[in-house]
Amino acid sequence: MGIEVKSVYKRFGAFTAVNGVSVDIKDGEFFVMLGPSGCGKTTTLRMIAGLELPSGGQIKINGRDVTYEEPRHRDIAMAFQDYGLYPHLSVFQNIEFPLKVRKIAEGERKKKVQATAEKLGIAEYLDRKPGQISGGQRQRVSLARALVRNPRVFLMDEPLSNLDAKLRATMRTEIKKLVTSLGITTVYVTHDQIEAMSMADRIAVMRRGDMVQVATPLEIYDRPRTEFVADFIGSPPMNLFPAHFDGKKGIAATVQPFADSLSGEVADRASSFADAQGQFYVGVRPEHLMIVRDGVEGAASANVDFVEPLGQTTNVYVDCGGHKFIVVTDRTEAKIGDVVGVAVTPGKSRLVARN
Amino acid sequence: MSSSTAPRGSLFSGIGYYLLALISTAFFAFPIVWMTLSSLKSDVDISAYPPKWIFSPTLESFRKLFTELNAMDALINSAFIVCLATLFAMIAGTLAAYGLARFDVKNKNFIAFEVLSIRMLPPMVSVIPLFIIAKQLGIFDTPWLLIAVYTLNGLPFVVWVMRVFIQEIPQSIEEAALIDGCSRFECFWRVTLPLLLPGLAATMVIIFMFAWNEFLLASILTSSEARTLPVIAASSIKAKAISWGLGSAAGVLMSLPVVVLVLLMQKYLVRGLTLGAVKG
Amino acid sequence: MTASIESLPIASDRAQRAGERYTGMILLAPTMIIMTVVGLFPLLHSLYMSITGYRPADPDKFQGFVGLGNYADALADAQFLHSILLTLLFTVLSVGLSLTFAILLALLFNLRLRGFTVLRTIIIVPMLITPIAVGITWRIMMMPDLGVLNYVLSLAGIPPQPWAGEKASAMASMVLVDVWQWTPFMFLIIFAGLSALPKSPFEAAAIDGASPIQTFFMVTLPMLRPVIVIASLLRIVDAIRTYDTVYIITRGGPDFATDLLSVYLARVNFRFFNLGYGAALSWITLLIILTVVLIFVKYTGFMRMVNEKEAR
Repeated sequence: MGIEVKSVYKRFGAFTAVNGVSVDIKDGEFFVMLGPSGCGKTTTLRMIAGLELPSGGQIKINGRDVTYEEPRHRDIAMAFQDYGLYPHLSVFQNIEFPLKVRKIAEGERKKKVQATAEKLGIAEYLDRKPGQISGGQRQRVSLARALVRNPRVFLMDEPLSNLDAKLRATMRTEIKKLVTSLGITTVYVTHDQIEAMSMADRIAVMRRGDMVQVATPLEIYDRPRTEFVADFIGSPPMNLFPAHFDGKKGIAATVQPFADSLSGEVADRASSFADAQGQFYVGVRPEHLMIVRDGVEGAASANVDFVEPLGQTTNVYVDCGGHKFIVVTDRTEAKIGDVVGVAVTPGKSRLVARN
Repeated sequence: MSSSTAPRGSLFSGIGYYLLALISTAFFAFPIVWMTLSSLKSDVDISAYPPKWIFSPTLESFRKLFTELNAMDALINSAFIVCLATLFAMIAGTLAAYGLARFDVKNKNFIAFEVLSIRMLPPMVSVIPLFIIAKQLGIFDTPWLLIAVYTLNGLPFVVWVMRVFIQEIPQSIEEAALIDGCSRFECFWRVTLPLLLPGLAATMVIIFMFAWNEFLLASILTSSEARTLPVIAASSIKAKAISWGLGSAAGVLMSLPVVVLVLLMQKYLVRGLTLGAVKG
Repeated sequence: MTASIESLPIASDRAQRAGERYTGMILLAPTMIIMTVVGLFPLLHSLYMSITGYRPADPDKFQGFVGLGNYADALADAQFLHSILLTLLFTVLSVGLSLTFAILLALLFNLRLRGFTVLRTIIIVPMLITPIAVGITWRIMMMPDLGVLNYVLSLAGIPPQPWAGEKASAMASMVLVDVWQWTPFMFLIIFAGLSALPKSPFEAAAIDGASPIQTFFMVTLPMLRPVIVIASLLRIVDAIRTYDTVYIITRGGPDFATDLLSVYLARVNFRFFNLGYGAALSWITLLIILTVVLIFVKYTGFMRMVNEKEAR
């Protein structure tokens, strides 16, 4: 049940937009596809919707093979980035549209539209045209139009990216609550890591047509599989230190103390992160580094390049033998030009594969 | 730069601008005024010198237009031919524009340019073959021949202008309709078409105008039964005895519908005339 | 992985959506059929005629295939070359003058003083008048003895002009009529282009200390270029084909002073019934127009502009 995507690929001429993606999205799951523009996330979504046909592969929705079905026969709903509202119809007619096309009796249509509009707080705008309401209200109308016929699957293509930051934050929680309470399988496409982290049951991070890592938000944050995921998620991003195997030290990294702090259990799996040349990274989140006195055992000695107090936390930009990285700490005494020690919170060093 | 260049200078320069604008308007308006006046003059008044500005208007020329030149038949012919040709061009052209704007078609640019080239075609090239073919098919001097030709001439406008109008409708609106349960046809009929109505009306007016005013093809491809208004208007000056009153009356009669129609539909005029290339 | 994907077959790249593989072609079919039957077929027929010596009124003179003979004759036909040169002169004068007037008018009306909207609407009217009616009206007005134009000139103390009646002034008269009818067309388009220009470059120019004249030549004109080119292109194509007004006012006379291409072509076809030769001449005309258009299209990127809007 849910959505099964099996080795689906999509090529436009010589360009491969989606590169053999396979994923099972469980019934009722909130699944987010995250990645920069051009990574294939929207194309994948559109193939699930039937707006684009895959060049090969198979898509099943609730156990039925719909790879080559028309969109209208897939029992899906979709919300668009620019809302896709019908400008010539009133809000009421917009929400009513999918019911009308499906030839549902007028009385029932009215009831359903009214109920859905009330749930989304747009009941008072039903007579207006989409052009006469605000962006946030338009997005609610588009959600109402999608939800009015109780779809089993709800697809969303960057639905919040046209809204301002504040509205985005409230809509985020609202959407999440709504679809969770209705138990709808949701596929949500975004390039915004905060949206992905806060809403998803599972995130698929995509890059150049591939799903690089599919996991729960915290798993992705804590254990990014590749350089790309580590860099894309978290702000400021994870510090990465090039590393390789070395006969004497085991793992050698540009800032050796951080490699040394890998727990033995993690270090044993290093070979599965190494590429053909035996290269990989040791990664540490900036908030898992601490500024200590220079010379403390297990700490790397570094120059302070720049200090950025943000109030709640402070970003300290440091330079360790030519290798620059960031430490996020509480307030600190460190000043530009100081020589300090940088230590890792025990157990927080990670292995990260190259792209 | 809407009003940024408005004169901040003296009252004098403002008056100067008004004077310039009035003079240019007079230059463009005068012949039309003169045509209208001439059409209302009697034969005596029209050949008076110096020209009469004040005279007792008469509809005599218009009456003669209908009695001597069979203007009623020509009017009916013009209306029938031009309306049907406009309708056909609108239907075929809008479908083609939708195909070009929304679907992957092989050689899309080539087809679009081919359609555009109709706009460039000198009518002299195809009028003789059309004449010969029509004679053989027995459709010479019937409305259908001109309907076919005017439909063709309308196509470049419809295809190019409607293509731009369709491109301006966000794809997501149509995709929403497809997902909401519409077939492609339902989607076009219930969502795309209503949004295209202003563009359709504007394009319609323009191809109506070009067909209504067309003379060369009409004069060669008709002889008596299917003559249109410009053809009989031209015949008013063919004879040695030139009837200026009649000619002016014919001019007023045939220009009036177009002027009224176009001035009512001014909004998208520029876009239509430039085949969608310039926004009005 | 990547390599293996690229070697897989493209099952349905052309069919973007289910069941829509042929929709585009079906939508284009009616237009293609009309274009083939009413447009392409007569065109090819004409091409065929142009390599025969077809004179229906004179069966003895049917010469069968003459190959490129008609084309060779055309190049040696002094009357034809005269028509081509006249047409080019007419086109350059008419389009050049109406473009200049149109730009000046557009600048004037862009001041948007009170009442200008009404005047603007009046100015548009000439382009809507049936060309035959335009010809009739101007012929009445240009009558040397009774015409209102000479009367107006006499009020200003200027001696009467022969207008289209004499060789020396006939061409200028036809250009005047054409400029009168089509300046409004150019004006309408250029005014629209001017209204759509962004404000900030003008503000920047003002701050940079540019005089109004400098601003016009260095900012306004370059920014208007696409619009000017499109308006000119459409006008050039129509000016080369000018027939109706000349037919009514001069029929190519006096003494061939206004014998434009289309007028000469009509004479070859309908007075001399030399249809094979006429077809050859039409094809040469077509090639001239096509050359002009292609140069213009290449120069402006007209097609590119439209295609860019299509990004999915």
